[in-house]
Amino acid sequence: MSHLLEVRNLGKTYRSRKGWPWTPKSVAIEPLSFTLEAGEILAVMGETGSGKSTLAQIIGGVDTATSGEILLNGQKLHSNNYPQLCNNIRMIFQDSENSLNAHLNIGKQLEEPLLFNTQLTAAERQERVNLTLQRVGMLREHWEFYPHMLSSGQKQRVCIARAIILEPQIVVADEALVALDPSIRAQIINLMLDLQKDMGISYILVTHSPQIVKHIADKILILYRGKMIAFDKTDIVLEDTQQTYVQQLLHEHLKQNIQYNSDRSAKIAD
Amino acid sequence: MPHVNLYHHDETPSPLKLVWKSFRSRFLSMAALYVLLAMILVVLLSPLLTPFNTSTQFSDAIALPPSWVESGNMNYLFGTDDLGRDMLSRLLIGGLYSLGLPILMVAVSSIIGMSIGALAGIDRTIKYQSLSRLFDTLLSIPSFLMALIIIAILGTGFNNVAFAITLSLIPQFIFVTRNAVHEEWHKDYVTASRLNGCSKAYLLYRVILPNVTPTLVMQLTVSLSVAIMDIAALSFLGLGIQAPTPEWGSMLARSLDEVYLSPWSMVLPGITLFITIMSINIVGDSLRRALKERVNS
Repeated sequence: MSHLLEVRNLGKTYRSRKGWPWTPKSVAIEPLSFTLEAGEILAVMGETGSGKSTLAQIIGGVDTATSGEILLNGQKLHSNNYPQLCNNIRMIFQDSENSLNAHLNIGKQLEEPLLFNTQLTAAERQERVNLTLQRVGMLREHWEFYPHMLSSGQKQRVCIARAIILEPQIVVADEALVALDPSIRAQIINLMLDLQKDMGISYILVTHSPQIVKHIADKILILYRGKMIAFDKTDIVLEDTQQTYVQQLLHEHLKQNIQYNSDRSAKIAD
Repeated sequence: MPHVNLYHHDETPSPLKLVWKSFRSRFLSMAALYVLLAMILVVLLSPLLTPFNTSTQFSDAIALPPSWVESGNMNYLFGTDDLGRDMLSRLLIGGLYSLGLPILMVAVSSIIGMSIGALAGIDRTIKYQSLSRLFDTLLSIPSFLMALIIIAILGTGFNNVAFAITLSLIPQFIFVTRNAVHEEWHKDYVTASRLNGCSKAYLLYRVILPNVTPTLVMQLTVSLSVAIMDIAALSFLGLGIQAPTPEWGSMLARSLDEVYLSPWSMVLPGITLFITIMSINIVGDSLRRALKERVNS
């Protein structure tokens, strides 16, 4: 049986703009392989510059890999084959502010993927947009709204609506939760989990936050300077004590808490 | 269930409408816009409005002062020049050459410049890049000087001047459009639309164009005032539209000889030129201010 998503020896090297033809290329991602099953949530973690965003962008189709291949249900995925790509893999960007067109209203922006990937009539498209808006907890009246009239949480919901409107199999979220405040972040996570339950979407989450990962991820992939140093089920990675870096990344917040608590108790003792 | 409108329906202004709103709220900008629109209307209707033929010489009314001066005549509202030609008719028809022609030239050069610029902005292939860079080198020469060079090669005359100024305006349009489009191209919302599977034409017209419209409109106003100045200056130097044709710049040049005897023949075309260019500049400036306000709010 083939996996939903299989990444084989995916690598990315690039040459900086200022570089000469003979300067060695920088390596963004060293060849890595992993698989994702239907309905799973994969968390990609790593420090800044570890290549996790690049990985997300390659899978989401924004960037192209320099080596390796991505298989979707056993079929090879071509990065410039947009119909194949956007019917199956959708992307949520880091900055919802900039990923919405300021000069088009929400309805038109949500209609866009339908316009180019389906044969729906105008009325059907409108119905689908309304349904999707309601699905992410917004109203059909938001069709008329422009992005500047929405709050950041609502914008993020619109971005999620845009990602799920074609009912894809995989949604790639590139740090989609960073800019939100905790309560809205919780709402959005719950929304994403609900949608996963309803539609069987798999998520690839790029994130910094170990709490979220522990809470929702089925698998964890950890990148360190472009190298994949860990990839397994969440509980296995969490209990892996061999690699200090993995422990640091996943349990740092606990240490901070302990530090904070001990500081406080020390203060109280004073 | 019938869809009953129970609540007051707030309008949802698009960002472009917001710019227009803040533009409209300033008295000066609206005044300039109305003056400009009135000018354009008068120029378009000038063949119908002129009381006399522009080349008819009234031998009984040579160098007649404007009608509001005591020695003036109501038949000749703005007086006559040293050959006895009606100033009002000459100013009105002159507008066709001094304002109408620049509008036409800007329209042509903007269509050419914006299409090359847009293609160069989204298509990074060598073909469009080299074309737009070629025009970029022309930017180092001031547009007036370039028009002069083209006229030096082609010779003076109505067609050559129109051609020269049109050509000299193109590089600016290419530069501005390419930079604006290229800047937008790398923003997330364009990437998102690209991932939606949009065609390139849709990306350009529906996604990017609304976002660069204000920049382009601003460039249009700048180019229009440059074109008016250029054609007036060239005609003033005797290189542009030739003498019997009533062009504001050539009228100014002609009036130099008798400025002490009939100052109105210099002041009137000068004031018209001044009002036209000033209203265009104010409109462009207010537009920039309105845009800034929207970005800041």
